[in-house]
Amino acid sequence: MIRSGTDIARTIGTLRAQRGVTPTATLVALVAIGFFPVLVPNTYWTQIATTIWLYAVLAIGVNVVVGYAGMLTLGHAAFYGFGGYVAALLMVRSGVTWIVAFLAAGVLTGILGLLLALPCLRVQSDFLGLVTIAFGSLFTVFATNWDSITGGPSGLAGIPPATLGPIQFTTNQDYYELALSLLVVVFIVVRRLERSAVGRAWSALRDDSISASTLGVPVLYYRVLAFVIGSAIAGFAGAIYAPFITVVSPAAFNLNQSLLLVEMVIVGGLGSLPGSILGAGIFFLIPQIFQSLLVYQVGIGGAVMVLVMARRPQGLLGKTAFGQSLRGGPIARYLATLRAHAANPLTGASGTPHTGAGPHFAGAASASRPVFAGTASSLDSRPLQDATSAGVGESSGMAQFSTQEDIDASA
Amino acid sequence: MPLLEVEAVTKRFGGNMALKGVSLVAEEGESIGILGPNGSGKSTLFNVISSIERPTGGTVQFDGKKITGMAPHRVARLGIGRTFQSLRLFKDVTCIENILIGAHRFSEHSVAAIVAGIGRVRRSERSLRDEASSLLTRVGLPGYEGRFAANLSYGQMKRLELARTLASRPRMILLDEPAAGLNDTGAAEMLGLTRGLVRDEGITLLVIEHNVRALLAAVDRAVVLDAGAVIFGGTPEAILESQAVRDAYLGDEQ
Repeated sequence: MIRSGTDIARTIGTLRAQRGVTPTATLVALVAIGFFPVLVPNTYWTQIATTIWLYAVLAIGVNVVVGYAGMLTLGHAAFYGFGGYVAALLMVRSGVTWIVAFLAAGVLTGILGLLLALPCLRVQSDFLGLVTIAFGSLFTVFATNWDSITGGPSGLAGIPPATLGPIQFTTNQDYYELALSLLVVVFIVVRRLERSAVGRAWSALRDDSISASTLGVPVLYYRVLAFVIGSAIAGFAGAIYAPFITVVSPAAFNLNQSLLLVEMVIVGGLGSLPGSILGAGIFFLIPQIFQSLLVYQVGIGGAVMVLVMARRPQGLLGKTAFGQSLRGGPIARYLATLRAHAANPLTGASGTPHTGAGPHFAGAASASRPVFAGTASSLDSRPLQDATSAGVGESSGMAQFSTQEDIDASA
Repeated sequence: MPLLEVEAVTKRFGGNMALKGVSLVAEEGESIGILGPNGSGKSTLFNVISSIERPTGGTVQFDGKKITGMAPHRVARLGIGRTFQSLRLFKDVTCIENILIGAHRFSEHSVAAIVAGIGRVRRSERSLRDEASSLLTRVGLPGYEGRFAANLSYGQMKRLELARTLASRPRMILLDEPAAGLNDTGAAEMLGLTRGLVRDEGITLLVIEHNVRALLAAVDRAVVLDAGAVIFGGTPEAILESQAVRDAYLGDEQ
């Protein structure tokens, strides 16, 4: 079982290594995917696929925050919901046309993200993880109890179909194409950012924010930017969800959905856009195969995540390991320690790969374990992602902390 | 007017005074060595100048502007670059990307322009990449563009960090132990390389270094810190002859 899992992971890794997927091939694949509902005229599967595209969009948003900028967001479903409610309210109560509601939902959700992130990130980025959990719960509470606006627990119903000029979106097929179009646009936008100075700034502050700031990178700006982009993306997705399902209700945007999104991104691979799509696909297809297990989706997702983390900590298509990406704070240390324990903590002793890492690590490690700090260890330490990118197998060096001592020193 | 003016800077960590009223002046184009035993406050002084740490008292002026309390990225943009004693490269990314991050403020980073994919973005990227490549060559790492920073040898990492700092086009560089961990030949080479690059560009240099011989060969003058205070300043020759410096390093024999 695990063996075959590793094989799959390795195959995917090999595919990834063979770059140069031509634009033509991409276009052909995209057209084929676009014709799926025509080729497979099954309403049920079209609906599942539409949900996958919407969650892939959401996962990309989460990936910008977690994978690129190295922060934690545990309430992202609430942004999805906020976008959904904004669009629904505008369409139902104010009779606004869909495209206006769609744009308003994205922009307002982005502004909400800004209001939430700015105060937290000014203080400390670890704070954001906690604040987003609180925000997610607050959103559910408001949506459930503010009956006059939100329609209470049963939600807002009777959302009219989306329209684009003369085109009216009514069937599942229509929403399939709409969601797929949003995914394509979001994918292109984030891909462009990733491969620009913005993407480099994100990887710099994720890796070492102090170092980044002494090179003139405005760390706070790029952290906030990542969060605003991530939130706005969720808002846009929500504005497609609302007319697709025709109802928005609090239960669709709770903590479970938020956790599911983070799980998707981690399994698919932090900092990998195809990974986010793959993650969304896996998490919606597995429950389809084992229908009776649908209620345990989040739990099974957690188990899948642990399995993937143990065999391939950087995720199926990712290149950065989780503890690596989120290092530097208490949550990061906790996760890194967990992961190091999960991976065999007794084998391999190549020294600490964290020489010159974030301020939290550097001080603690050198104070209590001088043997592992300093210059000598950086000579032979090979952090995980480099080993894998160099083509070394993924199952050999999975622990960021190779020995028990490293874990103790940094915990 | 001097480029850098550090005036009566103090820094307290709880009950420990890391800096006790340090004053220091650097003229444009000067190379100044900073010596002192471990714990004498050298790195703290650098952290205060680059604004990573806020001083408890005193002021730092750069080019006539008070920079005390300014955000570190603003200080960097004014033209103060630095390297770190314990190498702080971005290990997830390649050598050329490390340098491009150093050149961040010269890159096209407007979100709207990038998302729209306009030609200006592509042109800016191309010219920056060319510059970054030539910087790699200048520090002795030709052809290393695609190598991951974490896979370099220690000496190569030091060179890459220097190149990354140079890419931010600083007017002054703070080098924290550029030769640490290198043998005498490596240390002399590294300091020589630094000195050459800096002289070509007219960059002002502050260097912390424990390898006294290599350091004094590369700087115009030096100051000696001990227990958070400047105990001596002068030419390399004067430093070598100073009794106070000997005492600080070797302990007072009496």
